[in-house]
Amino acid sequence: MTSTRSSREERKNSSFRRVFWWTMGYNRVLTFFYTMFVVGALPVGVLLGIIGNRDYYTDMSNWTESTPEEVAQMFGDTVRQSFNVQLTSLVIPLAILFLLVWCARNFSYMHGRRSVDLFHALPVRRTPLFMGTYAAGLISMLVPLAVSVGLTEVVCVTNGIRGVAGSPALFWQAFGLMALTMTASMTFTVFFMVVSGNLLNWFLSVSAVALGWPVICAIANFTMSAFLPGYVSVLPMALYTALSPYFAVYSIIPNGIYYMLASIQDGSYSVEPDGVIYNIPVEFVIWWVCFTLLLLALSVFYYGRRKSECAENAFSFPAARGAVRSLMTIGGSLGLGLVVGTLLDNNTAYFAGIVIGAVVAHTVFQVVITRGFRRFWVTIPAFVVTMALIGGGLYTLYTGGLGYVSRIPQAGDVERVDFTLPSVPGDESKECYLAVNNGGGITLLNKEMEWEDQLTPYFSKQGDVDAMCQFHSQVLTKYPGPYLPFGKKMDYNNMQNFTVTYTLKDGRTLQRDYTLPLYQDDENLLSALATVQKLPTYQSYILYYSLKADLVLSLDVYKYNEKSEYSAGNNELTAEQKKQVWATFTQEMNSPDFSEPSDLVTAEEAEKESNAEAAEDENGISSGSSDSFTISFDSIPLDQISPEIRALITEEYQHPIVAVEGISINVPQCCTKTRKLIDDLTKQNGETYYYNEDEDPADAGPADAS
Amino acid sequence: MIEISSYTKKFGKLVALNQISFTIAEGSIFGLVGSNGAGKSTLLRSLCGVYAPDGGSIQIDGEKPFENPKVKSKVVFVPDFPYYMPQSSLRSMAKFYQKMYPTWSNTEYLRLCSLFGLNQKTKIHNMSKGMQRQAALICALATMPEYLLLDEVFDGLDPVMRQLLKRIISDQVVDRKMTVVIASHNLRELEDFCDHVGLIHEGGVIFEQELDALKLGIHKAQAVFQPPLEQQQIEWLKEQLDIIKLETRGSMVSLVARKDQETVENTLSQLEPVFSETLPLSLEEVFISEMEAAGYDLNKILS
Repeated sequence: MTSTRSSREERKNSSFRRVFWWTMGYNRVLTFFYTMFVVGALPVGVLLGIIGNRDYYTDMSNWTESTPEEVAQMFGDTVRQSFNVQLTSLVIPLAILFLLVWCARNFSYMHGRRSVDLFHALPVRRTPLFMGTYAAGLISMLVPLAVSVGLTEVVCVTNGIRGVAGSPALFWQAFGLMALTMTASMTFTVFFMVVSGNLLNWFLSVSAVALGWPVICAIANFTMSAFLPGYVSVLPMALYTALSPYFAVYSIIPNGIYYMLASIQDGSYSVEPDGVIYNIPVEFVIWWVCFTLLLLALSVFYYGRRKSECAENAFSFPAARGAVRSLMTIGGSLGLGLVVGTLLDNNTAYFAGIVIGAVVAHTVFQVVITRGFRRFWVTIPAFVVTMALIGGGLYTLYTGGLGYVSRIPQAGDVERVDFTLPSVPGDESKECYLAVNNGGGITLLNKEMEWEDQLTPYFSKQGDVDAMCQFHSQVLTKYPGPYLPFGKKMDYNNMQNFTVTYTLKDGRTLQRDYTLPLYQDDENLLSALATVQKLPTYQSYILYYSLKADLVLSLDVYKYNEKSEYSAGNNELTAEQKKQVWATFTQEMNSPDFSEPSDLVTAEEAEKESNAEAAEDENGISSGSSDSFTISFDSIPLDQISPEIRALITEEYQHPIVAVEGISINVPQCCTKTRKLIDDLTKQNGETYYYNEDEDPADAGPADAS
Repeated sequence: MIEISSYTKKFGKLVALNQISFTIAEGSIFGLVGSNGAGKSTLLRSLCGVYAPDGGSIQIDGEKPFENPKVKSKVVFVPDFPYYMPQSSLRSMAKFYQKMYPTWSNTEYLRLCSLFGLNQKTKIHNMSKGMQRQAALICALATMPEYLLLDEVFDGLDPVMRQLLKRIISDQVVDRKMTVVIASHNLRELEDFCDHVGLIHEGGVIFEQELDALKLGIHKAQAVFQPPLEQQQIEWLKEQLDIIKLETRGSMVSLVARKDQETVENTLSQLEPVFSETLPLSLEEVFISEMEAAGYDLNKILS
């Protein structure tokens, strides 16, 4: 009995408890105000959302066709939006502000010589001193959040809103994720308290890493994209927030960061984050748990070894200073390089920017943290190492990113390849007129959800994959290397897109996205492209073969010259007219005489055109554009399209797809009869617009075309 | 008992304390004197476990103080610039000490508040420098320490408060056998307060002795010789008296010697001076003499 009481007494008097309870008491006023703000922001905000919308949704059942359950669901969605708005605009910023103030108030003792004398002379070991303070901070930060979320739940339940957005645990899910990322944020903040020597350097380090890391990721991504042809971002979005827990808190709300910034910019909280809280992948949770535990362990470890005399120094551990400085140097270097390179479109300027940026970033960082040039020369070796890292990275990109540019998988290793081919009008590839899809995909209509999306065709047969690999290898001949980020001559008139995603048999994927100029003299490349386009599998994706006369919906004409533009349309075609149009068009398309002159030019002609355009631009004269004749179609029911397209749709989407829509065909120039017919059928609806009123015969904007 | 053995403390390349060794007995009042930057405050911070050693060891009652709550609960340190939480009052600081020190005595705290006459509710940053120091002393003494470490504690205290403080400390030394280590430049204050004294210079201990023995063992003398002493006689004097400092001005000789009064007088009388006078040194004079003997050029500093 005595021993039980004694051990209980001991626990009660443990250093951790003493520190914890003293810290809680010391911060009670700060915590009280934080709690008031958080509780005021979330439950009250949500309650106002409910009150403001209740009448609307109550009346809704009188005029809507939606069921009461659907109305309740919509009301729940609105409440959820209020919740998200309050969270992103008020609660999260408040919680981050609180943790910064809290850390500065409670851990800054290690940055002052006088305060260190007091705290480190206490009869308390460093670990319980640190952990007691840390735990008090966490509890002070999270408990008000939990209370706030709990009250919000009560507000919802008492107002008859149960299970917002179909998930009764939604608020608690939000709280759980917020608690995780806020804990990571506090640990991150405290870690820099331990490794920095004074409050200003702590704040600079935290800001440099938390704000600098996402920026550096973006700069690195942009740099790789500038160097490497075909580059598709290999940096997952999670990497951008990986070292920035403050931003990770926002990533739990869809568009959280965007709406937070928008609310700051607008000065209002009227913007509404959409969607429910993301289905956060388990990796996200694992990363932040590991991040928190690792930083906490490092903080305890370093704090145990932190010398009291480091107070008021720049940093207590040189390694931390070096890491933050290198991060800043890399960011400054690549950032300035990109800015200068982009402005001057010149590689010499880019590399000069790299060097100047590195020197400036390194010097500024060092001068700011040491408040002068004291021991500046000691940092020169670290600067050289950082420059070597930057140089090594850029050299790797210069030589093709360790084979990134030249990598094409062996056809035998490929399970499937999804693609979007260049659209090349001409005799050899009239399919581009037929595969009349939108941006290379197929627009689908799901009536139930009123939702549209696009699909990308793919090959999985060995022969088809072979042909695609051949074409891809021909594309690569356009990029012989070495690779530089700027000074590339961009022939925008002749640019084509080619995207390809290989799914390998081992589950890995390889994705490339090219914007390349295509010329008549790219004979091998065009031949390889034609080979792909003539493949039966490719042909099966062409919607043209699923179209019929009765699906013709409307006709459109657009003509343009330097003085005026003319447009006409007819969407009230008779059945007879539809038949006539379709018959004429298919006859011309299938005619052995179909011969559309290619609009591809040779590289030499492109050069001349480019120069001529530049001259025209200088004289203020813009180049003209060709006329267009378009046939638009009604949506094709799913059962009327090719099995390949149906398979593509079924494979990709779980929702029932009922139709494919958005189809229109641009009638080639050589289909003169069809063009003439469209012109005739649309004439009565035509209007001409003059750019200069003096030239308008009727002295009025629109006029009938002749 | 505090045992310091070959203790070394470095700040980067600067060696603040270089292999110092001495012992402070239980129940003594130990005065730590030394020039600016000698390492007095560093030693106090090492004693209370703020600084980790870079060599050697410090043991308080046989245990090291660094990261040792058991030892640190017996030791309390009042630095030259005590730290208080922002916006704190004496009462709130007392609550902090009460929470952190298991030995805290509320009775003693109230008694000291009454003795010093401080308002517990007044914000400490609104207090004068002397009152702030009193606040720190009240909190420190209310923890009922076995070892009290004081750095320049008399700075800013008026004479009445100095005497009061000395009396309170002396009482506790007598009543509880408290050990006090006090670093100060105000040697006159230490002279009638300490029983032991240690002189630190450039990170090393010049001497460490009982104050009475120190004062009795070092004397200054002035003597006039006709004719003036010859070099040979001066050398003889140096040999006999363990002279720290010797100056000759014509026929007058001034010296400071590490000998008792009788030895100094007898030695001088053998040279038949016209006039001689031997006096004990004040602690300040001992300090200056020893510092000069250690190569500390006062003239350079004062010029």
